[in-house]
Formats: sequence, structure tokens, C-alpha cells
Amino acid sequence: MKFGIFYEHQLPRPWETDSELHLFQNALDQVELADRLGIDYAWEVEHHFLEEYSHSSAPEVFLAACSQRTTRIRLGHGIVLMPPGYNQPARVAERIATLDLVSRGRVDWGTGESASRAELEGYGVKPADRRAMWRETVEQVANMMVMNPYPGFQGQFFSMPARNVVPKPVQKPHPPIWVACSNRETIHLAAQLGIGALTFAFVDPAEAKTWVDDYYETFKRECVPIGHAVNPNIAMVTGFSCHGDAQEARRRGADGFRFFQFALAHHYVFGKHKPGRTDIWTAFEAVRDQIGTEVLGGGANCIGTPDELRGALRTFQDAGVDQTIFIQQGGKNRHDHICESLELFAAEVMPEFAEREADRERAKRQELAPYVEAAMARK
Amino acid sequence: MPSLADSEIPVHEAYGNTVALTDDDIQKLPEGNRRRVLTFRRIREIVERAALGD
Repeated sequence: MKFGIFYEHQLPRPWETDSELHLFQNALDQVELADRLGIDYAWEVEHHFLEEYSHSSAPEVFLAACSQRTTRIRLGHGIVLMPPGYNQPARVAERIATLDLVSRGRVDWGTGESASRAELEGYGVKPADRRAMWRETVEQVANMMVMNPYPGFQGQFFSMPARNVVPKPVQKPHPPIWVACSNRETIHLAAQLGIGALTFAFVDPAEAKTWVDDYYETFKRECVPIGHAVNPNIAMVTGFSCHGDAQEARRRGADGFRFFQFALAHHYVFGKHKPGRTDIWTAFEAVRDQIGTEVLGGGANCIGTPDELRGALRTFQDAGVDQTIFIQQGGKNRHDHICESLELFAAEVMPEFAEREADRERAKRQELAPYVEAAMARK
Repeated sequence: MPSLADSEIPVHEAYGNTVALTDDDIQKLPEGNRRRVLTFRRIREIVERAALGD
């Protein structure tokens, strides 16, 4: 199993003049550390206007900066908002390819639709059309990265004449494609289209097996690739804090993850948001004790001691999860604590998984080879 | 450009994939999805209770 770190760039109020400067510079330091420690992926979201929850509106810029401070870690868009109102499709192809060039072929291209009112209304994207927009643009952006020239397209949601979209990416035919999934329906769709599933559902390990089995059975049976290559992978996102003392691990990490869930719910479920004024952190503090630990659910399995994390991650691995992605930067989790957590995890937990990874990958590749061939033949 | 007065700043309500789900819809969801939706509903209930001063 591989490991990733995940960035929303959370910034609870109150804000100082240099709060965002420190947030971004600390995150760059953390990615540089993760690269040195051998963590496999750094994932960066794209959100707009979601104050406190996510200040990551230009992930291509952050990932480009990461590319120049690292040499090995893969750089994942987790995800690019694909409706053309957010990102014109040719611009996505150009940016992904450019990032792939400056990083020497280390890009993973996660895709998604977006769901919050702040974003959809802010960019004039019709909620009912999101899924269709996503599907149309993912296929066309993949074509742009491969075809020379791109023959042009008259679509439902965007059109453009024949052009050669340059540059082309280092990875051929194009970087691995993923889609953000918060439910089983989307995981099923990811398998049908031959793309990786980035799951944000915070499931527990036992349930992960059901989701993984469904993904790979669907991939084998039904896959018709939306891209020019398949990316059969399923990743699970979870909260993260690692310390030798279990109570200290929770003290350092649980509250940040609890805020993560609260702020998510504020923007997507119940909040009445006044831009520039609403203070989500203060609202969180008012109910923090009542929220308790049930909110953490399956997402708290990787908040604990190295032994506890090892146990949880073995279960994920046995379930067939390809990658576990850690939300270590949530709420007011401290930079020094995040770095200490990553270092302890890399020293005491990661080695046994790294030792098995080459064999696991080889076996998986062999098992899937005939299904990949059949899927490509169906395209 | 003049800044908006505080009273002029528009408030928008949250919207997401799960907002419009009915209780029946939720019962039909796979276990993981259902737990996620119910978790967010529980947070909403706590916040609404707190707003009422309970």
C-alpha cells in the first residue's frame, strides 16, 4: 500500500495579516519533508470561496512550487474542478502537461465536479449539469493531451476548433486519471471508466473491503476507459496523527479532524454563510464538546500510536486499498506536530508496508493484465 | 469601488449532494454513505440546538 498526504489548506479564524503566508510556507515545508521521508503522494484540492475550510483555490501553483522542492513524491490534483465554468478544458490540459514537465513526470490528475453552493453559484455552474460536464470534459482533456492535433469538439458544455494543445505531458499517454468519490455510486462509475477512485467517505476498514471489492469487480467486468490508459487504483482518505502516547496523538490530531468535518458540514450541509464575516471556528468552539468523537467515525483510525496505526493500515491493506491518504493539516493542527507525526510514521510504521509494496504491485499488475487489455479493446 | 456595508453582504445557505435527501432516501443508501449523511445531520442538530440556547 502507498501513502499520501492531503491538503485543503485549512485556516480557522481569527486571521492575522501573515496567516495565509505561514499556512502555505508550512505546507511547502511539510511536502518537502514528506518527500525526504519516502511518502508517495502529496494531494492538493481545488476549492473556491470556502473560507476556513479550504484556501486552496490555485492548486496548480502550489503543486508547481512543490515540484521544485522535491524529487520523488508524486504530485496529485485532488482534484481539478472540471465544469468549464471553473476551468476551460484546454487550460486544464495545458496546466496538467506543464506541471508534468516541470516535475519530470510526477503528476496525478484527479478530477471532480464540486458540490457547494458557494462555488457553483460563484462561478455560474448549474448544479444539475455537473456530472455531465465532468464526463464530457475529462474525456476531451485526455484527448487534448494525446492527440496531435486535437480535432476540435462541439459539445454540450464547451466547444473549440481544431488546435494542437501544447505542451504534451511527460507521462504517456497522459498522467493517471482519478475522480473524487464520496459515495459508492461514484466509485462504481470510476471503475466503469477505468480511473482511480479518490474516496472521501471516511469508511472504516471493514467497510473499505466492500467498496474495494465492488470497484475491482466492476473494473474487470465493465470497464470502458474514458482516457487513453486505465488507472485501476482506489485510495481512502483518513485523519492522521501519530505519537508514541495515544492520548497525545489524539490531543494533537483529533480536534483538527473534528473541525475538518464541522467546516465541511457548514459549507455543504447546514451553514448560513456571510462572506468575509462568518466565523466557523467560533461556531465550532461553541459546540465542540457536544460533537464528541462520533464525528470522527472511520476517519479516526489513523490517529494514535504507531502500533495503532499499523493495525488500522494492515486492515486497509488486507481490504485491498491501494493508497491511504492522510489529512494531517486540519483545523489548528500545528506545523511542528505535523512534522513530528510524519517523521514517526515514516520511521516506525511505513517500512513494513514499503517492503511489501513491490510484490503487491507486481501481483496486482499480473492479475489485472488481461482485464486491462480487454478494457482497452472495448474503448 | 466602495466596500459593502455589513447589512449589504448577502448570506448564502449551504448546499451539497446530501442536503435534499429525505429520510427514505437515506435508509436506502449503502452503509458508508448513510453513516456519513447521518453524521452531518447530527452535527446540524447540535448546531441548531445550540443556536436555540438548549
